[in-house]
Amino acid sequence: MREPPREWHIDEPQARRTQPIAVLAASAAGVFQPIKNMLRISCPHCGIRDEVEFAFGGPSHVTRPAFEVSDAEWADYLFNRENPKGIHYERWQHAYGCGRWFNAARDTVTHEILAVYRMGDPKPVLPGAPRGRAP
Amino acid sequence: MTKPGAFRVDGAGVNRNRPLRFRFDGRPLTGYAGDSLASALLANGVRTVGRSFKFHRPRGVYACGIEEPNALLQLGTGARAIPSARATVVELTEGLEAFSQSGWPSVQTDAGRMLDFTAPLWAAGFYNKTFIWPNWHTYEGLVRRMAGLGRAPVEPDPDRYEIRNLHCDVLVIGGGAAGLREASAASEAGGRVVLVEQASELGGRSAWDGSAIEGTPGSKWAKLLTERLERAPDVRILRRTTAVGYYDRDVVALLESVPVHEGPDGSGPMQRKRHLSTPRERYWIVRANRVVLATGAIEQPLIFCNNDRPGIVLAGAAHQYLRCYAVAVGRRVLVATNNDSAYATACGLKEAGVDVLAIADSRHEVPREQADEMRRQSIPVLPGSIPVDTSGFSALSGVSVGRLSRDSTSVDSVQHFRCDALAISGGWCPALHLYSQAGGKLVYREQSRALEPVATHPIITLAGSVAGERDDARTSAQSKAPAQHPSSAQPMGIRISPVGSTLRQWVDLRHDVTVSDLELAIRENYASVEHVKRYTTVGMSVDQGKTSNVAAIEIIARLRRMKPSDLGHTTLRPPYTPVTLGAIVGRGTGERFSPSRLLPMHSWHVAHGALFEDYGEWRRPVAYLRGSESRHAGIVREARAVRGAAGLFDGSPLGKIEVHGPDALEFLDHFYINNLATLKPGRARYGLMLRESGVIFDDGTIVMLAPDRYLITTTSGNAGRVAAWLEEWHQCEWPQLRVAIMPVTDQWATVSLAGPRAREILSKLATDIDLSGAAFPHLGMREGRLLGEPARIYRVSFTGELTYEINVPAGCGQSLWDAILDAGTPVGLQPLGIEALLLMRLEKGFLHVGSDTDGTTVPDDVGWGKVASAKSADFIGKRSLYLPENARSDRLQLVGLAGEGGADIVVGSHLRLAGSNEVTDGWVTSAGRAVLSAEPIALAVLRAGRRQIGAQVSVHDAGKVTRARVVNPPFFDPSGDRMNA
Ligand SMILES: [Zn+2]
Repeated sequence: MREPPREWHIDEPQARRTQPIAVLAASAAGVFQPIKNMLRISCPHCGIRDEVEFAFGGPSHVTRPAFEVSDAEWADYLFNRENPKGIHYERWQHAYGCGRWFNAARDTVTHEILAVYRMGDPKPVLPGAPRGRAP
Repeated sequence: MTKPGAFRVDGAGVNRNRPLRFRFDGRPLTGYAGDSLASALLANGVRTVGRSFKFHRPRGVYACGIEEPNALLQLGTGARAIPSARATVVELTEGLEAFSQSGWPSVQTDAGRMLDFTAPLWAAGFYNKTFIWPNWHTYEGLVRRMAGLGRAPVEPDPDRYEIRNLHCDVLVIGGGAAGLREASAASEAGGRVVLVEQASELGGRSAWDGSAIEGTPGSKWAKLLTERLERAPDVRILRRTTAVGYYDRDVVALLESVPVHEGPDGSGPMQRKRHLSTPRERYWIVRANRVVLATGAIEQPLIFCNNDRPGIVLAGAAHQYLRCYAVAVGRRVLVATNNDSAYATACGLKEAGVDVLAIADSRHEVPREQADEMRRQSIPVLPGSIPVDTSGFSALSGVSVGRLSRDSTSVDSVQHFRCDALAISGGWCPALHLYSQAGGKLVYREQSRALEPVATHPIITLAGSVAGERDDARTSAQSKAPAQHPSSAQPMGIRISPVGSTLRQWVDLRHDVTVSDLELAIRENYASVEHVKRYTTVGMSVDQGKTSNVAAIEIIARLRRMKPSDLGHTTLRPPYTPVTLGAIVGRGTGERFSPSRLLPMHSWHVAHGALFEDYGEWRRPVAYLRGSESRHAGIVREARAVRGAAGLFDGSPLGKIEVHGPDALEFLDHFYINNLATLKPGRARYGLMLRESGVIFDDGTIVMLAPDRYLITTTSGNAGRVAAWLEEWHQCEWPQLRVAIMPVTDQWATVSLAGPRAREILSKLATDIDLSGAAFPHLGMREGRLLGEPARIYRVSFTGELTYEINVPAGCGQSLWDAILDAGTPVGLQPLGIEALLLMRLEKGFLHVGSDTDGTTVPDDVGWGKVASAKSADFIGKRSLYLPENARSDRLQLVGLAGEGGADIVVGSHLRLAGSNEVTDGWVTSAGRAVLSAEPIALAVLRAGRRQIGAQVSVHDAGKVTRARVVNPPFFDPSGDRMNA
């Protein structure tokens, strides 16, 4: 099996490694694809779980400014968030599982979760992702 | 009145050895096992089953499946009553009680019928334009009763519902021929398969329409495949199950109706108690790798004047009633169509001995094979003809058929038929609702006069008639005419009569929308199909326009002089068919919806007269009432006991979180406005916690147990939130800090002993802790042993009295409680509920976060501004305190109010300062009467309140105005001597 890139995990290989939910076709015809992450999220620590186990924590990669910043910069940190149509980098907590926070890249149109990666890891570069503000 | 069962003909489908008695509007009737409620009503000649929504016109059974717009009936009475059940899909059971829901006083003699003669008044937008004075609610009750929306039971639902998850490789929706074939193929390929069929048996139309599949009669073929699937190891067949919704990420929701197995005495579901373990319905949440939609097609009507009379039915339905239930929809039947499919209906009825007068076909050229077959059956064919009007009062008695001009835009001549039924077919529209919900795009095609899929979907495969397939493997066997097919190579004839008053041409039978309503909407400049839909409500009723949306598109396009394919279509939304709310909730009702948390000493409180209320998720004693004592009297008595002697309070919900680790102090210092660097072991410090916006989030105490172990307390309601808050900041912002956060609220029973005699009482219990005021002062914390058990005792006070807040392991709470009561009762100790505690804290002017603060309150508003600004280190929310809004001098500030004139001050009352031009200058946040003097006192937020001390304010409570003086709290023991004793 291909090893996911070091800094972040592609959803499906991770899922297959941690949880044998994915069903591959026995037939050579390849009729059956690995199961998709339908309203499920792959916790980097536990594997694929139902979305109801998770709590959404808003956009990730928001840097907390130092006390000395201007009112405008502080207000920007407090109130202004990106709201893209497309890939959104956000944080989730596996609240009814291991309790750990992690990052996810989610397509806001299809709700497909394209990648999960640990807190503190850099944004994965995904095809088609709009370039957001620098973290 | 018709003879019972008069419309039953020879044929299979029902079990004539098992008659079932049922009632319709109280009238006793008999059907057979295998009947649907609709087929049993038709068999008994029941024509009118409801009244229309606006005009109260009589309406009869129209379809044979889930698309039924007319026969929506109330089933049963009491807690198990079901409103708006579609009679066409209700299986007849012994003792079933059905009621029409739209007739008043009855469906047969309906007073609202007069509305029909005022029809022009009831045009589109009528409700919006008419019921505006004084407001809609004045009319709502009457309109709803007249409209006949059914009556929801008022009793709690006695049935059980289940929610289940299901994972599979292939989900096949629809158990007709195409679904059976797809499920078999998927099973043979080795996948886990779920096959869903809304009827009680698989096979769909192939099981009854007389066609042959792969050289085998359809019914036999379906049976063979079903048996094979039932034996396959990884196939689950869900019957009586409808796929109701297709949601994000390809989650499909199914609603399964679990049959009630009748008792040996044949008693039906209305009498019999359902076994507790059997749910009434199951809501399945299915995740599949591939979804096959084999959902078939829904027959569409022809539109003409008075096309709504009982006796007018869809031709496919008429055929199905004949084959599946041995019921003829009439004795003298006229058939009208714009496609091939209705010819099978004509043949079937003729073969069953029904008088088929003619078949009118709006196509000018009738295909040869159909014409030949009709000649063999001696059924006259009227090519280029369409019904233009009907007659009858309570039911159909005649049909006028117009001979269309060559271009089908006018009628050259009209021929009249006397008949009691008219079977109509306007072609078939694929049931693409789930495909559309899945994001699939639809487009109107002239060829089929239907909405068809445009693009492929990564997960969904369409199979059978939903894909517009004409199945060449199927040929007619039993009947000579070809089997019905949703679409045909031949273009469809027109669907809408070109002549007649559009006031009388119904598009949406359920919502009583006519062609004239659509005309009005266009005249009033509604253009988009979505806007026309909302204005006229076409397609917006419970049937969601399953038999009206396509005709509406054609009509709107014609009126706007554009092509229907350019008009677009309305969004098809879940659920596909109505869903019982209980099924969505599942078992999450009552205690399971929101479990109560119980105190460690709960059973003692119950045994000692506690009046309980819910505070957040906790069930807590309000007060321990004695005899016939009122709630208020009990609260005052308890508070006076504390002020006079002592009280004992179960404060276990107090949030308790331990924070351990070498960096624990640095970590906690980020959260409090107070400087923690000067904390000393054995001392508690009160602290405020803010959100990043500067708003007060929670308050509590911080205690150093050891340099690397801290215990913080939180308000009861925020215990979980504060722990989650600490975790989030630790994991996401300061992961380098070495700390562990442990919520321990439930591990400790917290017992508060408060009052001037508290020390005297506690001293009677064996302990190694020195309780003297000198050794253990206010805001001290001691760990030691009490009654031989480990204990943490705080000197913190919410009442203003000398208080020991004693924490012992939760399991030791009751014995401690008993021991303190034994020791204290002789000197006047009483147990104390939460309301007396809150009253005493009001007297002391202590902050109650959530009552005296809201989503805008910053520390300075409640008098903590200096503490916050004195702390040099950064903390969460600090920067926000310096934003201009939070530094304004006219902010609302917490003050005390002393009522004048003796009247109660009510929480929420608004305050006005003398000469103020503002709408409000603030409001009351906590109120009560002083424990000893009974003077009205309150805490309030007031504009620049701290500058108004001594001023008079008017207090406005729902029209009553009283006066109060602005004062500095506390109202009791301002020196704090009692607390510090
Ligand atoms: Zn996890």
